[in-house]
Amino acid sequence: MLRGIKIHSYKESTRHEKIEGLPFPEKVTLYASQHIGAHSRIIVKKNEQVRRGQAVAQPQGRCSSYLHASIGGKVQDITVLPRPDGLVCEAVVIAREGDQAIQLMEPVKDITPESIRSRVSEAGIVGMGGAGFPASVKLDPPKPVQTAFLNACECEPYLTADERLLIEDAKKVVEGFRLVKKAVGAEKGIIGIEDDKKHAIGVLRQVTGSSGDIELSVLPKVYPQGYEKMLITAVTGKEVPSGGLPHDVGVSVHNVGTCLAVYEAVNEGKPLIERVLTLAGPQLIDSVNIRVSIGTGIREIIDYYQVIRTASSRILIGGPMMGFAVDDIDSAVMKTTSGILVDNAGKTVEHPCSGCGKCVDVCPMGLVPQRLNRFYDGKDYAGMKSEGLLDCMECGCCAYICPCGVPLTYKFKAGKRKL
Amino acid sequence: MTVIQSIIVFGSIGLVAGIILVIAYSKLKVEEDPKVEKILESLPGLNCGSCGCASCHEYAVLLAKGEAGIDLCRPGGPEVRKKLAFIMNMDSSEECAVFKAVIRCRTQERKCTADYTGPRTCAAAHLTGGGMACKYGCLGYGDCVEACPFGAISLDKDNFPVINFSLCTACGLCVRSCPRNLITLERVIDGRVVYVGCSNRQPGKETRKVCVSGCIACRICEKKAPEGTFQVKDNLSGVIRQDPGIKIDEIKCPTKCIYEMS
Repeated sequence: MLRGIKIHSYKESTRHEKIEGLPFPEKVTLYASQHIGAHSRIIVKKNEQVRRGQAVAQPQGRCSSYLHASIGGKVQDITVLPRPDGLVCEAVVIAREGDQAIQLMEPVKDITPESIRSRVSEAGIVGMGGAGFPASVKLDPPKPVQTAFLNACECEPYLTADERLLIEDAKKVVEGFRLVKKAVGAEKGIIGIEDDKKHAIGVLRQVTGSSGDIELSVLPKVYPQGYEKMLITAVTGKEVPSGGLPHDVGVSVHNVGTCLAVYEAVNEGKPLIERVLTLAGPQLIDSVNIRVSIGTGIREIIDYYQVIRTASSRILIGGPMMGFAVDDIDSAVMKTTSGILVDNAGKTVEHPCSGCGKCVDVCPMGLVPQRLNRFYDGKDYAGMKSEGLLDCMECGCCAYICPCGVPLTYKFKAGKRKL
Repeated sequence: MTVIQSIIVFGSIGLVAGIILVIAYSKLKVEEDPKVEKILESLPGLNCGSCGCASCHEYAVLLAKGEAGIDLCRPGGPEVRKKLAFIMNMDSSEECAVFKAVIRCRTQERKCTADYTGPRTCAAAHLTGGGMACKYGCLGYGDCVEACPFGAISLDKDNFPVINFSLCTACGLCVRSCPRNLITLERVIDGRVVYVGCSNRQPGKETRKVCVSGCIACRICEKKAPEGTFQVKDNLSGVIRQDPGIKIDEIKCPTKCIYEMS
């Protein structure tokens, strides 16, 4: 059974606007940990001159990633700085200087799964939907994959970065998806998209055309349709086992931004040094999609668009459902930053759980959030685990629907940390 | 009349049940080591779990069987150890180390970068950084206060936890409750503990930006204090060996982040 919630998407303000470019920032902060897995090892030294697109960090171990300078200039500092989510990690600070031409790699001539994978790794591509799983690892599934998915659902309200990419760069995205499909060894490709993205669906129909290798699957608009396990169930009817990954059912799911980055890396030799993100929120007059260099300061973006902030303003990274409030506005955009939202922090009053069961109805993973809540209050973290805490994807449906204002998702996140 | 009737009926039921219980007790009695009860009497009975057993009773059973040592009860300290040694006929003459918990963050002011409006617990606040400029420092929502079964930790007026030296038994429950791992158990020498009141592992320049009294890893303590007492590692100083020769005034820590508790 498919669950989830129907929420207003607030996408109208940015859906029809072209992606804008942002001028190069004065300096960028490149965190050595932009992905899941081991930190990258920084290979540049202080005061060294770097060119735009030059690698500044190398992967350590298999599940890690390259990192490239997103602007050309001088390495101002290598130090330990807080990320937007409050974690602290090593970072390279580069001050802009001189020429900003990208140092491109040679395009890949002989396209094989191996050559695609090694290029994706060299270009430092990670899953750009938010989790930041190194793409080269994802392109090498341990089990045979029959179907590759392009996840174009983008179910979070306000965010339209992927939708605009599909409209403006559909050809590149679909070509990138074909490369991904080849790398994972899938026979079939499916693009999963929500039915409210009419323009993007039209463009995709044109691009995929009559070539039978890629299918378009239009899904009803429900949050969180873009969660990979939910997407797989919606399209194929197969259910990913608890604690399993999509390749357990022969599927591999990829994000729109990632596919575009794969295309650019393989065919143009461009490393991942910029990304598209949505700047939106009820307080903004002009919500926009912008293409920014990775490492641009959040404060710089907000000041550039002259966002008016009040004392109660709150800046969220990611969407309003799964995103988190920025802890330090002086932190910078990462490879996984899909949006910046500015809204007013409403003070919510928390009441004790009334046991109404609305959270049970909406949980897409079929968990019982109210029981998890009771275990959390009793500090029984092992009990939370046996109730399926690790299957919780922190989509926020339960906390959204809760009439008592219990911060359920928060508690589950904290519970996971305790395990 | 009814009153007498009911007294007789209930009285006889009670008598019969009592007789059955007495018989059952004598027939089905489980022999327990008499030591277990004695040990249990001398243990504090807090079931804190610092000995590694689920309850004081379980520890008493293991001890009576000889499967556990006598020095595991941290809340009891040397006194309980003496009593246990007497019960178990063991030698209690060797010196027993006393530990106390210290909180390695004691700045006078918290610098903030954002307003935190989420649930008021350290565990939840730590998920997003809690709005504090220092990503290593104390969040001040009192998870440790709640964890302490002895009431040894209290929050002062600036929401900084303060440990009551005499009440702390070093059971270690607060150590596990702190999401930022600020609390450590330190050995008491000469009735005092010396510790560095900072956990910030950023370079000195960054530490100075976020805190007036953070450790900037200047290594002055390594030079001024007796050798082998302080060690600077990962941009942070720490006491690796408690020594009566450490004099805090003589070290002249530039940010004054070396404290003593007694």
